[in-house]
Amino acid sequence: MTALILSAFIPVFVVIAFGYVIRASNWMPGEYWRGINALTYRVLFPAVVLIMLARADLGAPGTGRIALAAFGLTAASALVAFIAGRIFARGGQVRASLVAVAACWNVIFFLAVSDRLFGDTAGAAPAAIVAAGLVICSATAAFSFALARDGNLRAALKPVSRDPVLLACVAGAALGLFAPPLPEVVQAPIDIVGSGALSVILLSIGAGLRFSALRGRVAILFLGAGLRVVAPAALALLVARLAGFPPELGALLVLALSAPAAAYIYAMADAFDGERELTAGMITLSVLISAIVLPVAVGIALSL
Amino acid sequence: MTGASPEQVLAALVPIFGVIALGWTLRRTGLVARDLWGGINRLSYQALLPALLFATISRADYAGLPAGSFLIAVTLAFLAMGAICLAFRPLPVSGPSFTSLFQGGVRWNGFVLLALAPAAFGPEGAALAALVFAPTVPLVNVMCVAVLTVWGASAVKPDAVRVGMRIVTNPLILGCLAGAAANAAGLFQTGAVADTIDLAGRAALPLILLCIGAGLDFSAIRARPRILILAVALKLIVAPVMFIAIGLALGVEGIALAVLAGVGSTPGAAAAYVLAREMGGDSELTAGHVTATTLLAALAMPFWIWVATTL
Repeated sequence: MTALILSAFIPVFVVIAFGYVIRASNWMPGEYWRGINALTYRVLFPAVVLIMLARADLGAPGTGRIALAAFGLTAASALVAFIAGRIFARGGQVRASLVAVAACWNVIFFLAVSDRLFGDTAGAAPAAIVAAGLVICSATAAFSFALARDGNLRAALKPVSRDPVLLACVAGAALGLFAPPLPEVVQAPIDIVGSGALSVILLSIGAGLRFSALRGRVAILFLGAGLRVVAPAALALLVARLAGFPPELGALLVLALSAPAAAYIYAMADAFDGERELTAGMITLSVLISAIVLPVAVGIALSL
Repeated sequence: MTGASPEQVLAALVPIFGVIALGWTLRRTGLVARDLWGGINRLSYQALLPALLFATISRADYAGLPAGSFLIAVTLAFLAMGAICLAFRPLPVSGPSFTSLFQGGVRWNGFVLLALAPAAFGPEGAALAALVFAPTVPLVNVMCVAVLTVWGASAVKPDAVRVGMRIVTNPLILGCLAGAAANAAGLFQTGAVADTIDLAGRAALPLILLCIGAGLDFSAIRARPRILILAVALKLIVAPVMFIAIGLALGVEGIALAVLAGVGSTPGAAAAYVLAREMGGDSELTAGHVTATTLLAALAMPFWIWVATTL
């Protein structure tokens, strides 16, 4: 089992590291990544989400329970971060970063590793987890940054309602639940585009790592990364055990909920004039911590 | 098996051209603006494609394939196309326009074929298609640089050592050679290294197809229509005939001949445009050629592959 887990995680983390190396070595300096990030966020990521949800049998027995667990745990992560922020963080923007990082798990990281661990045997479960988690984590992040900047939630509604990933998520879930399969002529090009998304997004996660952002404010950085990776791992293990999920399903839940922070939070922090350096530091630290915590947590889930 | 039917090739090409059309739409609508494509291009060609070539070649089973005669046929066919294009120099066209005619005749866009090959020819055909890059990238580049040096409008002549180093250190060639070495030595067939390279390489073709679409320039088709028609005919009619004929002469058959026909009928490559701008070629004519051949290749590729499978 250890070999299986390592063989699933190592290539994913190595591709992330490769992304960091080609940016940090200036072989592909920072400005080159603007196009890649734009393509990723506006096209590749939505394509993956749309095609996965449209194809998934979201009405299959058991998917409702796992979706509910993912939804509840993502909401709980955000709530815990909100409370921790009120106690430990100073300033609305710091709290916004904390909540966004804690709520937003990295969907692409989850899909890349879950595919390597379970392949098609996971059925519709990864799609159900993504559908349930993605909407709440993206909306939470946008609302928390908007609230910190403008002091009201209305300002967040516009960007949230136009978010390409959220739109793809809603459209994909609607297609998966209510519509007949998409015609092959539509499905195939989206499939090709989506097939390239995983590694490009993993590379851009690496390119976005900012080790310089880890200097200073160590306590809040560790609090954010811990709330993103460690606390949800423990919570997910507990819920999987209490709900009586089979080990594979429990491992999927742990993998999703304690994945590193989604890289697009940085762009969101930037768009809402939030704490960019702090957010970058939390994302970077969550990637580093997840490299240690996640294989162990998934191993525990599989052995339960 | 001698390859796929025209219907299968066409069915495999439809999503490929769908992705190319998406790339064009993204650039045209400004959803991914023109100036943002540089980084996507660089990542695709310099990092992801070498990984894909390595992954494909290192794991391929060449035991039952005529790889030797196939590669000789490919090399001779590109040289023959170079000679045919040179024969058109007496035409009353400017030097820069002639260089674009030459590049249009000899440069090939292997990425469309790489994307098509697994569905149309199976893993053996995909392995052969990947192998073509190793000898042809340096050969085609040397031919084009030489012609642009003689007939291009640029006053600055290229530094031979620099051009040589650029070709020798081309990541596509390095990816092919490393893949072939790993295949021969039986290394990296499975395990963490193979899985990592495989994971990275998977993104190459989708991104490159999007980049091809983003680079299409329909306004350039109207520039110098007569020479453009000639250049398109050289690429999509003369080249496939030459590739098939030379393949037959060397005893290449079955899937290998179908792949050869595919190589011959691929559209023009965007690299030609970059070189034309750098070395004083007719970049507008080249842009028109790449656009026109990309559109027409949707018909030419299935046709010539079908011809090859019936021989």
